[in-house]
Amino acid sequence: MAPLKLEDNMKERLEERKIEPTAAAWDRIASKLDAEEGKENNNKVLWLAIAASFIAGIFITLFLITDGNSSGSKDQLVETPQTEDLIIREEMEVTPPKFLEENNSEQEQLVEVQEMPAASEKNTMMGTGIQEKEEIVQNTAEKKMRKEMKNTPFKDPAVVKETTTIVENKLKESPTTILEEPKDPLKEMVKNEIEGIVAKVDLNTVTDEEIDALLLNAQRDIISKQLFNSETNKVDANALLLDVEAEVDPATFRDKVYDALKGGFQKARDAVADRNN
Amino acid sequence: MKVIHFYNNEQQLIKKAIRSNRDAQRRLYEMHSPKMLSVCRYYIKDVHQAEEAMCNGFLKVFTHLKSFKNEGSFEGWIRRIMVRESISYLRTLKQLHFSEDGHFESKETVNNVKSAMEVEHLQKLIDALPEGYRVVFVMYAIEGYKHQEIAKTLGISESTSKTQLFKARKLLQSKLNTENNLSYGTT
Repeated sequence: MAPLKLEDNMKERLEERKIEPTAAAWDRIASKLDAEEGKENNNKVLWLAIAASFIAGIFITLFLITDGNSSGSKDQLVETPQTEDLIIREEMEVTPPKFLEENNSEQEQLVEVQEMPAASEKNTMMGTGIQEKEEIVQNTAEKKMRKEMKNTPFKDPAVVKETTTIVENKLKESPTTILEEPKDPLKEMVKNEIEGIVAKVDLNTVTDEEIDALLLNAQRDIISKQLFNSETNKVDANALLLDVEAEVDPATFRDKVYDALKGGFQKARDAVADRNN
Repeated sequence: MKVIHFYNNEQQLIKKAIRSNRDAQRRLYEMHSPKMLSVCRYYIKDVHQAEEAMCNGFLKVFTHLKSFKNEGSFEGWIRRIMVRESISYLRTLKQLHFSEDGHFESKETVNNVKSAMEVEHLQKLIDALPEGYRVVFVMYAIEGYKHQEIAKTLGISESTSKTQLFKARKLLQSKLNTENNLSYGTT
């Protein structure tokens, strides 16, 4: 039990002891604490910067996604600027004594102008000359419409402008609905008139000569493109030789037959002439 | 006595110190530093090195003050930090060895019989022990740790802890006997 008494005595005496530290001890502790707090602040700033960049990235991606969706929706409304432009153009074209009669008549114009490109699309297979003819048809149709508009009675410009704005608003709100009204009897009448105008244009008046001329032009363009390389500004010698050979020797069956017949006829004629001699 | 006021005052200082209030931290340091330096001095012979270990300990106290959850005494919480910090300081100096063969290092002799049990003499007796014996002895006899806790803290087995303690006691006893024989003139 002696060691335990010794240990208890030692414990009691040592527990009572206090040793005063030096004055510099607290300064060392304070300086180390300042260094630690500086590190913590830097870490906080770093984490805040990381969080801010992460949030900014989220906002940017959301913005890009919404921008992409809005551009897609704009594609759906591509037709409306055309109709609005048409309305604005017609307002500009119509002089004060030649305004529209009512909203329906204006819608007829929209349908007419929209129908014209649709009718022209049917004839695109005929070639470029036919397209030119289509443009002429459109212009004649527009001229006819203008003539018809001239015959309409005069209306107050303010009222007409109101109707145009109402139509514009309707187009903006629901652009497809106005264009997709097929059941209007007036529209059917307009449609019939358009078809009549188109029927009046005799598309068969396009001659073969015109077609041949157009084809020749196209061939020349193709050959020139084959011969001359616009990127390197050089002429392909082999292609040029082939082109010349084609000109020299057409090698068409008709020409060969014609040449053969011609040669035979000349031989026969010479033989008859020599026999008489 | 204004114990309640003092307790409230320490709690308030702790709250302020958690918010990095330098004045509150200094007040806490001044309240507990003398005792804590004495604790570090149990393990480290040199008082300057003990002070260095104490400073490291207080740095950990103030940086981890949030983890003190008022579950025990604040002084006991600081004391545990000081003990661990003193042991790690000895490890950095490579002075902590748990050798089986121990020898008494002190060559001092007792000059005054009355001062045989004085604190400094006791401290010198403890300082004379080998590092391994000293740490185990102080942790068990002075600090009141159990062998399981000593083994876990020092990274040794419980049997090694018990062996170290036994040998430390043996050495101390033999030294005290020698001193007593010398003082009473017996051999």
